[in-house]
Amino acid sequence: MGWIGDTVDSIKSIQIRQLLTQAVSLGMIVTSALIIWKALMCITGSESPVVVVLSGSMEPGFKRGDILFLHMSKDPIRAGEIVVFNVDGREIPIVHRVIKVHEREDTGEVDVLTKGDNNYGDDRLLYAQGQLWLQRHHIMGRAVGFLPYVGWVTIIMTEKPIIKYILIGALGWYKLGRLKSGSRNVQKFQRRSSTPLALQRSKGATSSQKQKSQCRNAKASAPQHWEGTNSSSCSAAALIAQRCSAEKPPFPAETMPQR
Amino acid sequence: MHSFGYRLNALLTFAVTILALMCAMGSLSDNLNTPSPSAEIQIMNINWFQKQPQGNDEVSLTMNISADLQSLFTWNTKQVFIFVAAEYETPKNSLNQVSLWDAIIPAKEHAKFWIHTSNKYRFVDQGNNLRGKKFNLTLHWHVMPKTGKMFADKLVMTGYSLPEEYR
Repeated sequence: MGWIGDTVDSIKSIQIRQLLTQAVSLGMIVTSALIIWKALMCITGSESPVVVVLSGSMEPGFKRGDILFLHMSKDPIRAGEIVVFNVDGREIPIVHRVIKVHEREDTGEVDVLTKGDNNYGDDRLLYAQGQLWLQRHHIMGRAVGFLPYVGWVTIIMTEKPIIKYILIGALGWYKLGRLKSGSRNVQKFQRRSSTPLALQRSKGATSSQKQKSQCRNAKASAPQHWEGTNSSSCSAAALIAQRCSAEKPPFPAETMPQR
Repeated sequence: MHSFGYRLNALLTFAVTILALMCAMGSLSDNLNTPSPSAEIQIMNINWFQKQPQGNDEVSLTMNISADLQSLFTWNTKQVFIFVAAEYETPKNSLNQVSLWDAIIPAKEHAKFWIHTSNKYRFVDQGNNLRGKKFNLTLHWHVMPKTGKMFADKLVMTGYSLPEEYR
């Protein structure tokens, strides 16, 4: 029972000030993730700037688990573009390619028809009853960039929540372990503190840069023997931040299964 | 400190950083490629040309498409999606783009091709403006990278026209 006792002791030994420091640094990281997400929304003009492909209707171009970066500009929609659209009465957005465009002379409104590269027929069967064309307001954005495989993280976490909880549990445990050893190994922590602990696995360089700088700030202002704890809280929080952004409601987009 | 967990974390972080860097560099290297594709499309036959019961004109035609798109491929290219669209103006619509045929080119070896085909998707107008209509055929390509930014461009071929009468 030694390790349980140790852990309990380590929990007891956390003082209120240290707890507060941790809570604040955690809050900062969660907030910064939110800020980055919202900023991306502003920059790209799309309500969900990053989507995960859920089905194989765009294969071999996009497979399940790939990530698409969306952009929604004022530019008119043209044939060949890959757009993400919502259909009335369908919850999950669809990623497909535009094959027909009719742009009105007087109003500039567009009628758009889409099709999945891997589907045999066009998407009229997927649209709402009696709907022949998509209009501008159905379209959430067009795909501009592509990153393979990374979306599996969110797919797995959504479909197998148990893995999510195991991960959170493991992080919590890891962190407590760090708390214990933190005060013992101050010198060594200082030596390796130049290596960024809390990097990537999240959405991009900007977020990791931010986390890194937060790690540094926390270190600069905290008492020396807390260095280890701070860096560990950063790495834990980096993953939590990743989860937050991953669980944003509009995140998963679906390309429809092949018919 | 020098525990297994720390080492694993450091290693993983480093590996992911390098991977991200390489992905970014791969995507950026696509900008160094200046493609010079060429294509030619001939309309061999108007198979039929009629007015649908709903009042929209519809055409079926047979095309000869030959193209050399090898220069589009780089080491970061997963596939190239190409399609041929008919583009024309009508009094009601300032732009109509109707995709007639498409294909996916999986590798550079297949990027120089010649095909004789009828239209894969229906060539239907919004209205009945197709008689005697002059239109352009455009060959569009969308380069899908292994990772990174997607590229698209097109070649416009002008001077096609449809018959004056239904047949």
